[in-house]
Amino acid sequence: MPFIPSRGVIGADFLDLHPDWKIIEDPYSPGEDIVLVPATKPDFALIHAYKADKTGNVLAPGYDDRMVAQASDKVIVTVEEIVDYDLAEDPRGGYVIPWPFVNTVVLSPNAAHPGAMEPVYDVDQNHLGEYIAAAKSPEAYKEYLNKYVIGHTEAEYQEMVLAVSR
Amino acid sequence: MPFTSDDFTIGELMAARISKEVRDETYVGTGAASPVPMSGVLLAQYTTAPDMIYVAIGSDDPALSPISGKETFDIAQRGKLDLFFLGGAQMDGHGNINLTTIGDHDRPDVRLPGAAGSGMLYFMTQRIILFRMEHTPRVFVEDVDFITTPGTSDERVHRPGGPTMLITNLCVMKFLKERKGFELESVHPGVSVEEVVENTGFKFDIPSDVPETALPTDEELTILRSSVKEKISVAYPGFVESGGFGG
Repeated sequence: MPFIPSRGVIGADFLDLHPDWKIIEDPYSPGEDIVLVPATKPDFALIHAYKADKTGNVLAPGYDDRMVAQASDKVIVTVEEIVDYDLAEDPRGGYVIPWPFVNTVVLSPNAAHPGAMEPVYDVDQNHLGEYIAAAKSPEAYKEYLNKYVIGHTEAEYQEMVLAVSR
Repeated sequence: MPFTSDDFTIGELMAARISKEVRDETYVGTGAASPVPMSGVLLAQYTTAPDMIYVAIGSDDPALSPISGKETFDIAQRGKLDLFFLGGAQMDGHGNINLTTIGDHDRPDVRLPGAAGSGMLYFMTQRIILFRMEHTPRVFVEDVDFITTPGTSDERVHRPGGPTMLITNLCVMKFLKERKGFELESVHPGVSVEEVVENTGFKFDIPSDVPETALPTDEELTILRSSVKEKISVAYPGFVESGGFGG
């Protein structure tokens, strides 16, 4: 869909932030205005999900994960595990993103950290607290990046954060 | 001086007042983080509105509602949501709500959670009760920093619903659409009109006689402290533990 209409919004400050949202006269209700919101067309989607199977079907937490995948040109999915069975035949526990909408699958357990992947793991409050404190100044943020990100592999990162209790 | 009572809590007073706004045989909803509105809605279900259908956003608990809270938005879009509750980090005298940013939008002092569907709900719900447990000039400002959703709309906009009332820990105000402003309806026990004026950053109408908000009856308190408290303690255990209900 190139765009969809939306109720509300007119009179809110959002319209100043979104010059691409248009107001037109509702063709079915002459004298009434309605907002049109254009489609978002990402070049890339980066999605973290529960599982992928050998064909590339993905089991994701929400229906909106599928929508994001369908809307995007290139879709990269990191998953907690890769399974032997066909997810399209057994989609229990989530929503399936069919393989035609997936370009790359990466096995990456705990990749949502410090965020949550319910019900597998919750938010890491301690680490988030550390991040929020680091985000208060460029120097502190650089320190955070050097400690956890720059020059470290994913495996090293996971070792560092899993060593600390949530 | 602020509200005080040994006989009931402020939450119980407000829940009892809220329950009077619930109409029987309608759909009524509450959002996240709303133990007092939820209490008021449940109290109405046990008293004057037994056939009201409650939808609680964020809940799939069948003891609370026969419908998942996810259905709230579609019910509202169909024009069937009769009553809902909204509040903002800031609210102004024209009913505008700010749930977006405090300060300059591009370099905010505070980034707030966002509209969460209030953009549509404020327009399509028949009646919205604005609700805050904190009545201070910091919340009730002359003009919000960012209009997440406006209090009124001009006639070219399809808007069947909107704000009808404001309930806080100090008072109850009516929202008058034609005047695009509030009128003081009642002050809670122990609260003076002056105190409301001092704590409100916008102008509002004050009638010559401002009564006290009705006290909760013994029957209402009994129901709140038993059946309602039981249901609330599942959804909002912290509220119950911190003494939200008296008795």
